[in-house]
Amino acid sequence: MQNKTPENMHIVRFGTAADQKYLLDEYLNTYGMLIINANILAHMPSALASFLSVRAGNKPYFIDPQTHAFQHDVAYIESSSEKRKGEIKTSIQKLADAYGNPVQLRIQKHNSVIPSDFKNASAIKEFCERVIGYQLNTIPNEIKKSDTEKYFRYLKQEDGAKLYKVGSPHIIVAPYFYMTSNTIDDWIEVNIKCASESKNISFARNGKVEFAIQIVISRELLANRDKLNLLIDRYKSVNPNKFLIWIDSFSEQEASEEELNNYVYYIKELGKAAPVINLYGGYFSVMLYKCKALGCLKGVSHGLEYGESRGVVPVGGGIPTAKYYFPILHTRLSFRDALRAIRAVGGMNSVSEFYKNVCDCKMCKSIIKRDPENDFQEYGKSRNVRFARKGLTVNIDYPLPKTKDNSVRHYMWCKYKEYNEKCDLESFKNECKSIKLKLERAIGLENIAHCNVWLRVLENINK
Amino acid sequence: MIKYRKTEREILISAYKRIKKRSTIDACCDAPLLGRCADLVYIAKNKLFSVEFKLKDWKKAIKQARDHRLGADYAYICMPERKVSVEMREEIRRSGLGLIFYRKQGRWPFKEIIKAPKSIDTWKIAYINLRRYVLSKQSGKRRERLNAK
Repeated sequence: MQNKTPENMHIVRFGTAADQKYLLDEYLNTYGMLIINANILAHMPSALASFLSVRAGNKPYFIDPQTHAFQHDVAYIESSSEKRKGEIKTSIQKLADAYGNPVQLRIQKHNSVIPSDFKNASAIKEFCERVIGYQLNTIPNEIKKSDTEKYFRYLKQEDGAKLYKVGSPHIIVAPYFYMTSNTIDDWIEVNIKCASESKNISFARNGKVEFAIQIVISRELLANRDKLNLLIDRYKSVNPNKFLIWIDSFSEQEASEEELNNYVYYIKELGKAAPVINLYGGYFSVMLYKCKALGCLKGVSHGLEYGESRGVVPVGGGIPTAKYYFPILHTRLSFRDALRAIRAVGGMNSVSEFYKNVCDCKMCKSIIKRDPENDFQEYGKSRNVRFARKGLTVNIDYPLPKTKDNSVRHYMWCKYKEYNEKCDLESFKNECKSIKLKLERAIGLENIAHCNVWLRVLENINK
Repeated sequence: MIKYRKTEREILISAYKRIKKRSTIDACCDAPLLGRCADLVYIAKNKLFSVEFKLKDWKKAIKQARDHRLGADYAYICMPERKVSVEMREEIRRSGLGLIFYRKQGRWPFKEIIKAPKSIDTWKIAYINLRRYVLSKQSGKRRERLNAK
């Protein structure tokens, strides 16, 4: 009997150690599952084991093996610090050591892996075994090594504290490599071999855990229907328990109607073979699920604030900026635009109007208490930083840590609401009409156009 | 149309230097304003003015200067002398901005083409911060005078 993934479609990515505080305590029950980046796991395995076993209360999780990290220019995985400039980042090196050859050998020589490195069938099998073994064993082994389990047994005896036993991940992911229209012919064979081998290994080794194939493609490959069909057919033949999809830098807010139609088609077609989880998605994907437009879409994941779309490179990292997630528009706005948008919907008139017309999440309620016009600055406070750009000294406002913290907390509550509130196409249609009336002039068409594009795509699916 | 060989930066510095010579005006370059950087900000007759310099791309200038209205009383875009199309004039007016041309010579570096209306978008916190920033860039005596105001 397989350990089924939870029904809650809300999945959050644990991107950096700093993310922890937004995933625990009051936020713990706001999402259903965690994705952990393998490079973070390599960087802090015992801390993550403790996080999952103790503080996150045995939250279901799976590990993104991030094998694509080894196929790009090595500059992307080299340290940028002064002391270690040119050396491979420690976490990536640890990952390469765990995955073994061919990646380990290539990384030693500061080369990237190429499809011909995977010619040997037994080498592929061994590589897949190590990648799957890493996902299955790292957390449980860390827990066994540490005193965490002993400590909690002691606590349980003392005062009946709950002992969480963290097992294997809920999903095992096959090694995968990124494909564009130009590289699909070279990588598809390697990806399919990795997927097929991993399926055999995971079923033989641990039939209780679901097996997933992660497919990472470029935006232009999504638009190339012939190649996309080829890709879909090849992957469908492997017949996994789940498909995990990631489209490089695919922002639902910026995508054109054609791109979104292609995205829907992609999910629909893959979904004929297995349920699909979108690894980087926003409210459009949530709507696809909630309007029951695509029954096969079973989960949508996002990172903390900055992670509704992501480029394949750089691997991990990224600088989160303090933008205000504007719930009506389901997108992040710069502080300046948020200010204008709030004024336009009457949110600055009074506290009650702010709650009614802008947001009444827990964070906003704790910040907007007396005068919205004044209180709202907590989402925009910054300090002045001077730096050189193109030979000139530039001054820029950089958000304070507290400002970022407020923005992320607000974002997490908004996401919780989006995944859980009742919604249908008709109410979304009315929302879009009112947005156009109130906000088009205030913040410009470019900031609101996505709502109407989403609506048109959603209506087309249901026709 | 007059051809300018100066870069945008050189024009900004030249304008700034001439403005600074006026004892009644307090000015500074590169003032931070809600995540943007206003090229030139000055206080004259107790009003806060912002200026965005561009050599050619007036649409981009409008986009940036619109944000200045959140912090300044009057927001201008400054360009070298050029033909102002109907579209450009309309867009500047609709955005609540003013247009000035850069003057190569003379004590005052600008020639006003479209008068900026008083901003109705000003956010008091950005306004206070911007004013404070301009103040912090003045010499001791000027700062005292402004503080007294």
